[in-house]
Amino acid sequence: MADRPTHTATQASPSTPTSLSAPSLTAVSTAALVVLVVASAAVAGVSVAGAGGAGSVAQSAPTDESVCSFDRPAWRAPQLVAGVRVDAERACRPDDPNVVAVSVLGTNDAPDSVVERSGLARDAVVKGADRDGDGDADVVEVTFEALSVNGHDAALSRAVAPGVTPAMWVFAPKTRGIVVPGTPAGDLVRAPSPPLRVEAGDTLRLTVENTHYLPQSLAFPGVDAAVVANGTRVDDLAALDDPVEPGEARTYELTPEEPGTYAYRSSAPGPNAAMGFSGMLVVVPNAAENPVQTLNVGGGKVRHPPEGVDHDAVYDLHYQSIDAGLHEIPQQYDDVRAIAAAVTQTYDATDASPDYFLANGRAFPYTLRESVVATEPNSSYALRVFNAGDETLPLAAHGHDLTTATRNQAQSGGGDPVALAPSERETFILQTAAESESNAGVRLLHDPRTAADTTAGIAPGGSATVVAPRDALGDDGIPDTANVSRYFDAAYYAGDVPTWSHLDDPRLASPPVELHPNQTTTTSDSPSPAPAPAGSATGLPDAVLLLTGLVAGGVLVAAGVAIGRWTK
Amino acid sequence: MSARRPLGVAVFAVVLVVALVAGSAGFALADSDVAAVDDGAAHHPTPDGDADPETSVVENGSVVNANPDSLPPGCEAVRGERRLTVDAGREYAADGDAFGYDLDSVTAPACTRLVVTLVNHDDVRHQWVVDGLPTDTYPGGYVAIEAADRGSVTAAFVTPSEPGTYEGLSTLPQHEQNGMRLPLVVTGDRSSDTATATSDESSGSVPGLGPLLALVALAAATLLAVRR
Repeated sequence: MADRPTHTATQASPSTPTSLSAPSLTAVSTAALVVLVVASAAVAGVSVAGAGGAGSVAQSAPTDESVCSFDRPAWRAPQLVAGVRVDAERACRPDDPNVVAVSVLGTNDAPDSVVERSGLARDAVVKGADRDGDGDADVVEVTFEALSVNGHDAALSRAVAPGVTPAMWVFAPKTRGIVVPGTPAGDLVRAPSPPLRVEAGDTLRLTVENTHYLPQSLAFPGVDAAVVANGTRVDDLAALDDPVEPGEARTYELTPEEPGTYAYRSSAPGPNAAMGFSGMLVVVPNAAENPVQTLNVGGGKVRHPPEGVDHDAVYDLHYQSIDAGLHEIPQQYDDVRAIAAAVTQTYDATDASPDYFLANGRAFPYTLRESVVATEPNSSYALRVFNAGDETLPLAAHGHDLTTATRNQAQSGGGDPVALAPSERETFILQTAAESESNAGVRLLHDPRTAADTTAGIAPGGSATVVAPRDALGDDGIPDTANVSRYFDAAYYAGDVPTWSHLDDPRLASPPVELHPNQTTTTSDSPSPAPAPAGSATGLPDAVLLLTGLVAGGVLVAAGVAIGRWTK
Repeated sequence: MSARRPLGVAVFAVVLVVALVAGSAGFALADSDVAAVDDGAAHHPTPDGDADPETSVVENGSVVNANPDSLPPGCEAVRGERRLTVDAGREYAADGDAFGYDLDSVTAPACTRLVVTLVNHDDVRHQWVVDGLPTDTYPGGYVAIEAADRGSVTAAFVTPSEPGTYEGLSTLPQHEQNGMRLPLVVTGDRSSDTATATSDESSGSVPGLGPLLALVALAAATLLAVRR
């Protein structure tokens, strides 16, 4: 069958009536065959290219990123921006000083150039009247956008750990301009929903513009003040009935009088708060000449701490726990109805089990870039902690005591964990020793539960960050007492790298593939691992090769049959 | 009958060649589309390149790379001016989407000043960002019109000389995926109308193996037909 076309073709040439057409016919037939072969090859080539492309896309995730990689090192230094003091932040990726300054002055009072550099919209933070005449604004209007990161086919990908990009829903300060990676606006859209700060007695008007795809609404747990929206007092049941729909905006007005750490969170039905729609609301004591830094995007160090704080620095720490099964749902559909059904009906929150544990939207080792508590000797640090997860959060600082005004956890040399109930907020004080006694080294500040020290089961991970003496930090803000670069690798958190591979000890390398539990190997006659099949050397899946072969063969056979019939 | 065989073979070969050329042209076209889109970064514009995108803050919003006069490469003159209004908001969303535009695509001739009024019908901001434009004229390769609140923003830019489909979207997270896609179709024909709402989903889909195989089959069918 296979040789029939050529056979009949050669037979056909003598039977042609003119000698002139004979060679031309043969030539044309040959040309046709060549063209067919080329066509088949093209088809095969396209298949190959397609497969290669898919493979390269799958492998395009950064596999070995640099530990810090940040192109604005000048942001770390203490500086004066538009007259606003911005403290140093010795972190690899500090907060943008422009955003800090605008958060202090307000988008209405900050210079245009600073507002434009910040990426904030004109109505992101508007500071109003000084009602008590103490030299700072007492009416603050903040505009949040409800939106999502790491969604379906998302341009704005925010990894919480190398290669780990769960979908999250967040409130972000309203920004201006295109929201893509590398733009000021893009950098402000991230987890967690940002800590908000006001003075006691300030009126906060918080507008939520729902540019997300599902209805939202807000509640303020713990705030002992009336919350008014649309002219009526906010009613949690009414919020179920009348949420803020996509495309709508609503302004919530409240005047908290008691200093403390509170929260704002979505009260819409479904796991909205677990998806990320919750954040800290910090109320600081009223003081004269005290324009507070209203937004602390990304949490971490407050670079313009309020007046009257008895500590050397203030850190906001927002803890989340993430059930991967919930957070992958928005990545699976671009149809709003499908996401709504999967999140609120198919997904069963009573079966939830957290896979990722985050501090300020990041898991170790990314926490080392943003949330290192950099310490000086004989200093005290205030940690405002919010447990946004669904389980009790134990928190331990190795070598340090975490104390509070309300509960005395200090134990001599103890450093026992403190615990926060779900949704609980607390301020902890961390005191460092005098210089002469300082031998603290870099110490973990972490949730000591076994699971919470991992990222989907791979350790070290989870919400762990560190308390680091200033001299243990490199110029890039990363602790330099150990080489942690091997953890900045998506393959590590994909479970593809043996935990102790850096020790270069064959006894701790990957086990043989055939080894099953309860099987033993002997060192003398254990077979070496089977060599990879020769076919895999091409880097193409067998299925693609098979399919390509079938298609090309089919085309050739069809062409042969066609030519054969024609020449009959 | 037999005298027609060389002719048939010739027709067959010609059809095959046409099929191949068309097929490879299709792939080449797809490649150039992708290249144009990839001009910024990944799949979306980023402000890198030689010059920085120029942002102007206007009443009720902002415009990046507004350009009423500068000629994109390949344009000898601004050939004319077209005005159009783009309505954006939740009320234009299809079922299963969150937001939308009132148009499916915007068609305009090459090298023409397009004066666009983006009307925002919602209480959240909306954008129309046209991507893949020549970076010489448009740093970063895009024009962005943003209406920060309910109301409108008007901006002008000159369409590129290269005919084709340019991606148009909102860069707010998930807006493109949830309905806010409005491509700009630049035609080489000066007489074509502006702002025609086309019903077809000209999403610039990449031609697959289907067209090539169909053309091969067509060639075989032609061969069989000619044989009779």
